[in-house]
Amino acid sequence: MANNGHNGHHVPEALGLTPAEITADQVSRVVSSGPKYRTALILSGALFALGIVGFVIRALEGFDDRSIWGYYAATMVWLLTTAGAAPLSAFAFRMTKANWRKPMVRAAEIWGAVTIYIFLLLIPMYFMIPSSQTGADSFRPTIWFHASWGAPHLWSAMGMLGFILAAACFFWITTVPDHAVLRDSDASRSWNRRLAIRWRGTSTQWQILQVGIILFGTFFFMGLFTAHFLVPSDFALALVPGWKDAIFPAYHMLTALQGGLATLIVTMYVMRRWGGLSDYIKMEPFWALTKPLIATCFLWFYFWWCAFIVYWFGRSDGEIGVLRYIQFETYRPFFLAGFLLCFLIPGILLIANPVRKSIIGPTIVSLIILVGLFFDRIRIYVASFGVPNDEVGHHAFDLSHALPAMILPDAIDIMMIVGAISGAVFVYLLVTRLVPPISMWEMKEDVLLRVIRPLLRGTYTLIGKPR
Amino acid sequence: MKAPVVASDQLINEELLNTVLVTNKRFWMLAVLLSTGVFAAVVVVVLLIINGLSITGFNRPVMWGFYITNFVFWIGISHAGVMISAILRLSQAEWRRPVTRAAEVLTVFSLLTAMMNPLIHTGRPWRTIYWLFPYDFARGIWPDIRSPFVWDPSAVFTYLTGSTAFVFIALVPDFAVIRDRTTGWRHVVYGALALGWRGTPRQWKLQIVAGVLLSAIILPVFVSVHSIVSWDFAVALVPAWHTTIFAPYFVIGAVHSGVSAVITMMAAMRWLFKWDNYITPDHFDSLGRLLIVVASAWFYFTLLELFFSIFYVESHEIAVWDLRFFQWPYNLMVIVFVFTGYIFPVGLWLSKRVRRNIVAMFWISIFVNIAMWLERFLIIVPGLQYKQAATFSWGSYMPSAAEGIFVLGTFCFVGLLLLIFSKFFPLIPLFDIKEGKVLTTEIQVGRVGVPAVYREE
Amino acid sequence: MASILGLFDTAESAADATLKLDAAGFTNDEWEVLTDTPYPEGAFGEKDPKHTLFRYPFVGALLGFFSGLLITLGTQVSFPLVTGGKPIASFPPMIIIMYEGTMLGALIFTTIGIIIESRLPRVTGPGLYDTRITEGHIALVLDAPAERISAAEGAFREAGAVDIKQE
Repeated sequence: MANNGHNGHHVPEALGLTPAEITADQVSRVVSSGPKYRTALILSGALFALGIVGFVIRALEGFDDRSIWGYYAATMVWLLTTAGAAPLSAFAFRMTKANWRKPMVRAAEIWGAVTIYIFLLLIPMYFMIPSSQTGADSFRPTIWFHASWGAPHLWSAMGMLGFILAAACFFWITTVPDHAVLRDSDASRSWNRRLAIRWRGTSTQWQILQVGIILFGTFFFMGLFTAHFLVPSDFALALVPGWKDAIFPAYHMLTALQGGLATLIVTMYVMRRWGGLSDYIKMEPFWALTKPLIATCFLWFYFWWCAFIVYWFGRSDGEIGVLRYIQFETYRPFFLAGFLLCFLIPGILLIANPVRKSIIGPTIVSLIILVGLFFDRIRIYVASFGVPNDEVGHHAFDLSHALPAMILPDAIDIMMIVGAISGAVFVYLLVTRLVPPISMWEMKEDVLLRVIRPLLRGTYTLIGKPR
Repeated sequence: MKAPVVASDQLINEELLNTVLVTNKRFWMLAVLLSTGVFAAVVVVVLLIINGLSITGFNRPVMWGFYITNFVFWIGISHAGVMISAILRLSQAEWRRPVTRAAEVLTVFSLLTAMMNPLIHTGRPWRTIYWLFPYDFARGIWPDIRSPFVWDPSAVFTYLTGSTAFVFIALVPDFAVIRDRTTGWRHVVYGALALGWRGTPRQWKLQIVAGVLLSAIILPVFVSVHSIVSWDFAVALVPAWHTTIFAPYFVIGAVHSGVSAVITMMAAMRWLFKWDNYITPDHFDSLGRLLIVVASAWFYFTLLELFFSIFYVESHEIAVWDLRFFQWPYNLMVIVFVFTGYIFPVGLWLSKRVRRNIVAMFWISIFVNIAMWLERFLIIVPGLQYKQAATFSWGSYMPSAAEGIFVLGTFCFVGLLLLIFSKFFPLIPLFDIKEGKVLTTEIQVGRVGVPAVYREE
Repeated sequence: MASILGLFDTAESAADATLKLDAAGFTNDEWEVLTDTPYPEGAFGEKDPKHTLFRYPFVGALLGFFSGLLITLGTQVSFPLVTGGKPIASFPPMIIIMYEGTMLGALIFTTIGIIIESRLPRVTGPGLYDTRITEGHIALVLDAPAERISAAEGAFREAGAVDIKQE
């Protein structure tokens, strides 16, 4: 950042590109890909294939024994918590009219397309959970209560499908003007023509676009809540005896907000560092995103604590059993890792201004959070999948017996973990061939609405906010 | 967001200090009305101290009623100040400027009012010191810090201290304005309160940093206060109380009712002090949009509470929900609560015309708070009324007139305190309005001027 | 040392006066601008004020934390009564009160810090000052050796000061 040298007041910088230059640059990125891109695509594709091999080997063992699928479930839910939630930033900061969002929205939205892949990973998990008639006294708790038909599998899957649909629609609507640009360029391909839906850029079309973004964004937001209500209640709460925890879906949603922000920050860093987008993605969005990120780190502790204190005070057998199983005895190493990496370490690091006001600082913190969330998903989902069917439905663990033992990953699990994550990266890379990684129409809007202007003896950024 | 009508600094002083420097007829009428309500409440308290809790409708097993409901309600209202001030300050929302002070002051007064409720509820308020404060060196009996009833005062005391400091620090520059406009003893008092303020760049920088820093510190306190209030209930093994969701559920409900109360107050201020140039339909529009999000989040938590209470289909949990949903008069209250707390207001707030209609917003905000009061009542009373095996006698709770008068009196008390505050201090921060004027301008895009704000990097 | 105050009725003329003070060889260590609202930093070419406010909440938080620890641990050890099967030194409830203590300390120290770092209170009152500042006028106050005051006065007059006061 430049300094006028007079009194320490910073002189702001402008983007420095004209709308025409933005178009030319972004269109060229869709047309041709560099060696770094091809390497990343081949590598992620190969690892994805390895994951598929792992999945097939594991599937040969069948779906009846849920415990061998714990790590698969944890990885799938981790992807839902991180990549699946990343598009929310694009919607939320549009709604607050935050100007700094403009270079980063597309990086977030592309993860919306990846949710389709995440849903595919989810499908096998429905073969692993018991029906509502299973378990002690032929009853297991579900949020569908005593509904016998299709519960929980069909209803839950339909809810998830709604979420995926909203995510895909949100991704599509935000890219319509850019598809029109591609359609009119030399890079035109048939999907650009179809997805641009005869966009011409009339005032009415721009207005409809804004309304469409609000509507699909709202559906996505609601879908995210639904997903983080259905998945944790059907795949975790319902499987662990005594785990009656109303805050858990909200906690799960909170971790999704945290994971989404962390995923976005890491994505922006990669795009800047290896994607050649450093002219667009500067420090501003990194710095701005750390504010909600630090809030989510402290809220992580808050939501965990709210459940803990009620259980600790209640002290019923079921409550103490759950605390011992998923937090303080069986899965303690994973719980502690999650506690340190999702809350304590990032929380302390982000208090420091120099860490937040940099590019590498938020990126490292985000990586720490992503790793922490992975451990957190393990202690939740591997633990839940480790409870045998005949225990399901009991109100309390029988503390006179040993709790189920901790399950550690084997080679097949590692193959599936690496493969599933690489698969998400692979899909993301493929989608960047479809649309530019920077939202052209919003960057052009930025050029119009961000002005550097003097006021008395200083020079400041002036940001226009249309009504 | 449309900027308020541009006024010169002199005019801003004149208009916003009109409450301090002159007093109109409406002010006195309202003051007399509110004082009457407060007096009635004081009479009730005196009667309660003389006669004990027999003047209330408490009956086994329901020993928590209107007072505790009212306590939770006012703690909830107190969440308005920080929600508006801190979050909008941190997110640099321009429209916050005329809203912040009144909201912060509402926090302080509603906290004071809230704490009166449990004290009076004890019947012998002076004895509460035994379980609150570790002082008893002679007998060797100390308070039980494992009890949420000790956590509670510690949180409220912190919040009250913090929000008072927050209000005071932001008032210092405005004290200087009044100091410069008054003579005699008032000049001396305001001069002392202004601490010798001059308006140097250092003082302004500290004022701005203070706003952000105090906001950042007070936000976690704000979250803790209502969480701890919720644990008064949630850590007990009472069916439908013992749930992990209570803390965030109480906090978000508090924000819902608190921000609604800010709307009520702003509409009243606009009417009473004729601040049409400062409190504009734009502010109600923004608050309405904020409330759509807040109310929906609150409703989500309400559903989580319901779903996971009956997750295991346990008979004692079902019994409480049966009481709430299907037994008279709670079933009527639930209907009123759901409709006036969420369905009607959010349905109406979706319309921009409603959001910009100040009269409509005023009435909707009042209905929201009726719902939020009922919500607390519905949590507390049916939860206690559930027939447990160990209870030897059952009655039902019917609040007495004395309790009703006291509850109404607390509303008058908060109103009166706000009115008295407005007589001595500006309810809209003068310097904040003037800063908004300096920082907002327009940029030309094609043939249209777009409102724009200077941002410091 | 003498002091002079120049009062301006527009921000532009005050900014102009600061340029003239620069030209007359004054540095921004020697003058201060008084306004009734915060202007963006550097708008008058004024010195960037440095402060150490961020240290205060940490000190307060530390004191508050240990006060909380003392009260909670002290009361439990002094009156060792088992309630609800919880241990005598029960950390979860202690954490709640210690947290409130920490925040209370941070809030009180921050408030004190704001006042001290703002160089307040000024028991002698605002000093060389004009009440028109709180009506929107901008004042420049310059402290310099008496022989240089006339140069400053010249700069103020040239920039269109509406009033000049000396002390």
